Amino acid sequence: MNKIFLFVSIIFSLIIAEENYLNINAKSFESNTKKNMIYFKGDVKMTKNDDILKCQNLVIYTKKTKKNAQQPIKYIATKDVTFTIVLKDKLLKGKGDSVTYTPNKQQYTIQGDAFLEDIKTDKKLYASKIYIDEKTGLIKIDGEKNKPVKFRLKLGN
Amino acid sequence: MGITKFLLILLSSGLLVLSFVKDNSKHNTKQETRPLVEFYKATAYTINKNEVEQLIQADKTFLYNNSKQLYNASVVLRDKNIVDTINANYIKQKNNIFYLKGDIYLENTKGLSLKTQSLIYDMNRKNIYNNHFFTAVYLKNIFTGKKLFYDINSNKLKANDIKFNINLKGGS
Repeated sequence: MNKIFLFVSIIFSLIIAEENYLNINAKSFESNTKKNMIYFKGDVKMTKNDDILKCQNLVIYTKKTKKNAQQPIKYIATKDVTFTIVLKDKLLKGKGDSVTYTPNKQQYTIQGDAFLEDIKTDKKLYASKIYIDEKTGLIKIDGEKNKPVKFRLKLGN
Repeated sequence: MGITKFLLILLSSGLLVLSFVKDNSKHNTKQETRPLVEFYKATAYTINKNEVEQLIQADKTFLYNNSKQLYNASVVLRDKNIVDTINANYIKQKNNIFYLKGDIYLENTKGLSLKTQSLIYDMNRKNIYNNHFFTAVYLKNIFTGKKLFYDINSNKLKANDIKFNINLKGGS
């Protein structure tokens, strides 16, 4: 019984540990503690659980916690940005000139030739700015005067 | 005929002398690489007016004219509020630069701990760098990579081929 409890608690702690960490692979990295910024350059791949973001440049703004740790407060990805976000009932794929993620609000902002596709429903969106609320799954879209918002929906058979 | 013999003897004796001189020079360099002082299981302190600046413990310490070599060593370096603790299988210290090899573990009070097999710690320029694979923890974030460069004064850290794990809970 004790062994089963130990096994379950190990598995549970591993899952919790995985959720608490964000993995980033890149060709080069620079951390500037005075500015509270971390820079990643070249073939950047950021993963958090099933969410994946790929880009060429990634800047993470951090704040120092009381425990002498760097806590991320904002992520800005630029150049060749593509991403996959898994929400409760949505599988979103997209791209844009830049993608900003604020962990506090759990909100993604795609800017500049923003494109978003819901793979499950085959809906496609083109706009200047797209906001994705990770908590509620709500998507907000901004267009420009010369660049209206475009929707593309797959019609049934 | 006699002149030829004489010349041959002269040439061979010249060659013999040359080889002897060469051997002697080799012997001299060996003498130079011999340490001036050897310490075994010793602890050395560098003390200024206010505090202990350096503490070096090693299984073997060899002192030379311009350098020292340490085996299975542990070094504590203090500069103002920053304290670095370094362990390594081999350390060569020359002109205030530490050349470290084998099972290196470095930890400092600025939140960096590092494991690697080769590292250079430049006390003059106040930086740490290498060309090898390393594993590090910096401000509770775990990462691995190659070609580390760490500026102690500005607290700037650079590396290549990085795999970075950010603790989203901020180290809690």
